[in-house]
Amino acid sequence: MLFVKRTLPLLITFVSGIIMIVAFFSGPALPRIKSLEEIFPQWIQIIMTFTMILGAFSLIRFNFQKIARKQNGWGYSIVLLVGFFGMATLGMVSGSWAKFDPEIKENSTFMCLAENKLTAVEVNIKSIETTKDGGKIITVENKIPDKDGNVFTRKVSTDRLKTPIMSKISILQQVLFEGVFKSAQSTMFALLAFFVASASFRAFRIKSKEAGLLMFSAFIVMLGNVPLGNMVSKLWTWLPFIGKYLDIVVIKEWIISYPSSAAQSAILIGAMLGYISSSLKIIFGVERSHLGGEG
Amino acid sequence: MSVLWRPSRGLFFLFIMALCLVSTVALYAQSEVMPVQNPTVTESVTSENSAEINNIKNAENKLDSKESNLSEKALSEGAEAMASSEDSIESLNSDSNKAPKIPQKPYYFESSRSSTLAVILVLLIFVAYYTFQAQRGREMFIRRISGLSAIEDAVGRATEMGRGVLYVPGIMDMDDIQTIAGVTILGHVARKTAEYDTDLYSPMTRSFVMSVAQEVVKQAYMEKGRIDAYRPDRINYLTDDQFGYVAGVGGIMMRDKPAACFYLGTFYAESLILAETGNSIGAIQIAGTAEPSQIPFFVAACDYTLIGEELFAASAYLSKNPREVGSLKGQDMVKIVIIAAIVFGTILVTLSKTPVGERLGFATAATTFMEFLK
Repeated sequence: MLFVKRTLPLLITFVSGIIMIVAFFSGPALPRIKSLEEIFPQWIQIIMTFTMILGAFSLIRFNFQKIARKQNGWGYSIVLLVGFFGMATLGMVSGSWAKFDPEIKENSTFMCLAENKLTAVEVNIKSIETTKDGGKIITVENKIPDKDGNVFTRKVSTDRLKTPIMSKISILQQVLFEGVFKSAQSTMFALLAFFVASASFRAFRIKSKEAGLLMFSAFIVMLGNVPLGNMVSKLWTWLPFIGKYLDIVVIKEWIISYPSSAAQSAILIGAMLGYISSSLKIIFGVERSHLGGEG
Repeated sequence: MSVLWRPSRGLFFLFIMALCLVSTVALYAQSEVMPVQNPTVTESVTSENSAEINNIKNAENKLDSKESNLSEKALSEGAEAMASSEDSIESLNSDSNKAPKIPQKPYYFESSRSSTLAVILVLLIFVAYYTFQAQRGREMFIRRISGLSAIEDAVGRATEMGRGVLYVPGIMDMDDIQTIAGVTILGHVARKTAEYDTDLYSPMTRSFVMSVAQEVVKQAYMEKGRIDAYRPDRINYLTDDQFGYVAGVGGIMMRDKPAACFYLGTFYAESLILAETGNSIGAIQIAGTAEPSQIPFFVAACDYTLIGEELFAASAYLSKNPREVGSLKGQDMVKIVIIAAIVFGTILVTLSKTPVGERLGFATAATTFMEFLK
């Protein structure tokens, strides 16, 4: 058991790590080894895809248990499960599943989805062209003319032509994705603006010399980023001797280009060494606490 | 513990020697078969062409200098110069197409990556040396890292308040070293929560990380003889979506009000949302990441922040394992080498800009040194 849980993962890590290092430094004269540099990350993607099943299973089990035990906030679990199964079903059905898409023939009637897939119009198939790569370009004509009596003709790809039921399913899926999921995502992201304000308010309280310096430099950078900074700089030009050196925008640029950039470079150098060192420790089995237990 | 270490110690040295040997042979072979570094460049530049190249360079320099003045006249002159240079390039290309090309033989070693190899080799040598020194019993000093020392206090505080501990190991998968560092520290935190009998919540954004974290926490609880207190449902998967995950973690924070929050791993825009939500519930917060853009947010909103390399040093700091402490020392030595190179380069470049430096040949030395570093 210890072999499977500890020794085998360490051996696999060691062998894979060495192969990747050799592949990274090898030239085109060693094409088989060089190709591993691209193949290995693809394997990672495949493994990660399989673990999604694990995640979905964990999510469903966790929320079913919550509902069954009527734990605090179990109502949210119902919403989550309905959303999970609803979106999964709609996504799978509305996808390019050949069983649901009848053959497209000339002079037949289909629903043509708009480019954003949020609306659809009834169209007649006028002609079908086959491209060099085997794809199809369909010329369609609106069945209902517009208010001026013009019949609109355009070229579309096959994935936009659906049966009436499938077009409704696709639109519902897209409405939920764009209207609920993306909107909720944007809402969470927008919260960041308020949190930046509250965090900077706390950070800029002058409690020590360092906090004072931080406040002072942040004030200059903020001022340099708004038109008011230019106005202040112009006002200061009236000051004798030092006035012309107090250009807020120039000072701001200096702060960003030198002290800030130098500090970031220092952090990056340290982090990169940490990256290399940690990777080597993992490859050689020195660091093994991620497998459970003390390193 | 040392089941795999002993054979790997031999492999460690074998690997260094093999790398040295391979790189030497490859470099030698390359110098034999590859007279030109860049494989796309052909050996067809004649003396006429090189004169033309000089003309092009002069035209481009002229354009650069004129552009800096930002006058219309200069711009038009520069444009003319550039136009003539483009013509020259075209004629040069047509000439070079006519000239016989020498086919490039494939090479075994990617010489553009030799600087990376040099850094890895130097690091490997230092790490190996100090690891063996540490194993022989040599005392190694590690400076105090406040954020890591505060872990016990934070878990203790949560225990006293009768509330839980929240742990977030970043939002990336196990192929990210920061996530591995985060999961490693999770093991140490889990040992403390097992010891103090405190609830540990660790919602995950990646199912693979969840699986590894469950194993690490279970092992920690087993070590402390508290396997009965281990709750796998509290190390659960939420979603792969960045902001969906933040919303989920925020909900857990607001409902369960953990007394201590740990954010250790890779973070992006969600860092501040998490840290500010944690702050609003009055939790003691310890954060750590190697993402330079997120460090200021954590510094502003959290009580303790592990900056960059401190995140990777956590395992050695907390375990006090001589092998890991030795490798940390080796890493520090490489840092000293890099600092020395930066200081030396700065002095060299500064001297090369002075009249005395120019006369004494510092300019050439500076250029050579910069090329060497590249």
